Amino acid sequence: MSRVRREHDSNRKLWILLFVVIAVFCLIFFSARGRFSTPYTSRAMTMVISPFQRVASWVGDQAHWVTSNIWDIITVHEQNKMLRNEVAQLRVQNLQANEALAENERLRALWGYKQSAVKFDMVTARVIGRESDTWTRMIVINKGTMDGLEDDMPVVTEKGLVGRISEAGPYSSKVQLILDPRSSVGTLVQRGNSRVFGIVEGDSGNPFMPRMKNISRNADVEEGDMIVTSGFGGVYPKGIAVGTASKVENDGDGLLKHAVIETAVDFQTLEDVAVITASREAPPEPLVPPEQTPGTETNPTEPANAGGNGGAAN
Amino acid sequence: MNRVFIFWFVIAALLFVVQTALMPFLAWDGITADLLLLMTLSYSFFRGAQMGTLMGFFLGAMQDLATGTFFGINIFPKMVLGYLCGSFANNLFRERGFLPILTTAAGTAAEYFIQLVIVLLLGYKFNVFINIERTLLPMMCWNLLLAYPVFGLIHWAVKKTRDT
Repeated sequence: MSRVRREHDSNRKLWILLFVVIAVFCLIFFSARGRFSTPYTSRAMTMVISPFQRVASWVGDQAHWVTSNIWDIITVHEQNKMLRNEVAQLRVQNLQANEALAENERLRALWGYKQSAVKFDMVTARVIGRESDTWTRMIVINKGTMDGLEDDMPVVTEKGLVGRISEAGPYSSKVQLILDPRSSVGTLVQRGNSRVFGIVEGDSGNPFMPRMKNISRNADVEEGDMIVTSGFGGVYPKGIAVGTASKVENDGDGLLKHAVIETAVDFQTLEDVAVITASREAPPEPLVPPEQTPGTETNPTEPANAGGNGGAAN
Repeated sequence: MNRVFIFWFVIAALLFVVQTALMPFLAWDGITADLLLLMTLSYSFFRGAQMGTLMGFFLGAMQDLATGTFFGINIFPKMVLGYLCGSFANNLFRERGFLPILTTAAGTAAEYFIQLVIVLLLGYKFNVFINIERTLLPMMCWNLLLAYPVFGLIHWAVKKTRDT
């Protein structure tokens, strides 16, 4: 009797296990399509784990600082030589940059164009955790909603774009990097005579080199082109460096090609980031009417069809 | 019971923190060891299929919830591997020295290929061979390197919880 009962129990457990395994398998697809999420549990888990991550990250930083300082001392002579070379090169570059600056100013004056300044409000944060998952690329930073952060805010460094906040918790937030295959960033080629638009997406096959996709085969994209955010989509402000095109390849038999991007940010050594909490573009200055010949003045505020001069507005 | 649960939660949290906050400093091309997989394998190795599956579920859920990856992508393989490893371990002499290495090698490869199939089914396309070279091989090296320390830690923890 007891043997039959044990067998019955064992079968029941096996069925429950099978049910759970199938349910979890289905959950993966529902969550990937955005039909299932666990925001509260996820936030609670992050809240519990993040203090430990802070401490461990601090310990790791200190150890890294000590080892890198020792390494710096060992390699100081070689570094000195390299820096001297670099200074010489930078002097030449500085001269060229000054020339370019002067030319730029002349051109701006020529076209009467004043570029509106884009200003950002930023909150700086430290990276306290990195996901070691093979398939997605996320980091955890030590600031959250209590510091004014919200979901979808862009994350940058002084070198360029890092990603966006995918989940802001009270004291820490998860950041989806631009290397994540689920991330897509509207971008364009910065070169003045190109300005080709494309979408930068993470590549699971090459985790540190995302791809700029949806470029037509005859579009003007070259190796070495700087890729910046386009500002379309409303998440990332325009003009943030994403990286440089290191390789341009055709997409199989289709009419499109893609560029492999070498990111501006070195994600392997990412320690500090800044979150853009607000970006405001200065409004364009009001148009000033040109000076008019005395005796022929018209009132600029007057409607165009007033006074019987019908074609004046065009 | 609560004490035992907290004890295991602290060990899991400790390994997760080391994996996400300390290991990245030593990462090889961004890839580090999956310490929670090692914990699942070693726990099921010592406690059998049923407890191994349960541990796989909790550790996978912890990883998925704390990192924001596809929910379930760690739960699923860890549950399956917890069950399989526990089932096989019942028929083996657990004292054999090479078994942790063998279990880790097979477990790492199995988790990778289960996740690979899921990611491909989700519609992401990439060169599988390059991915194996860049992610599976470094992860395998890391996991093999840390297999004995983690198996030792879990062996100690299993003994300690049995004694209390």
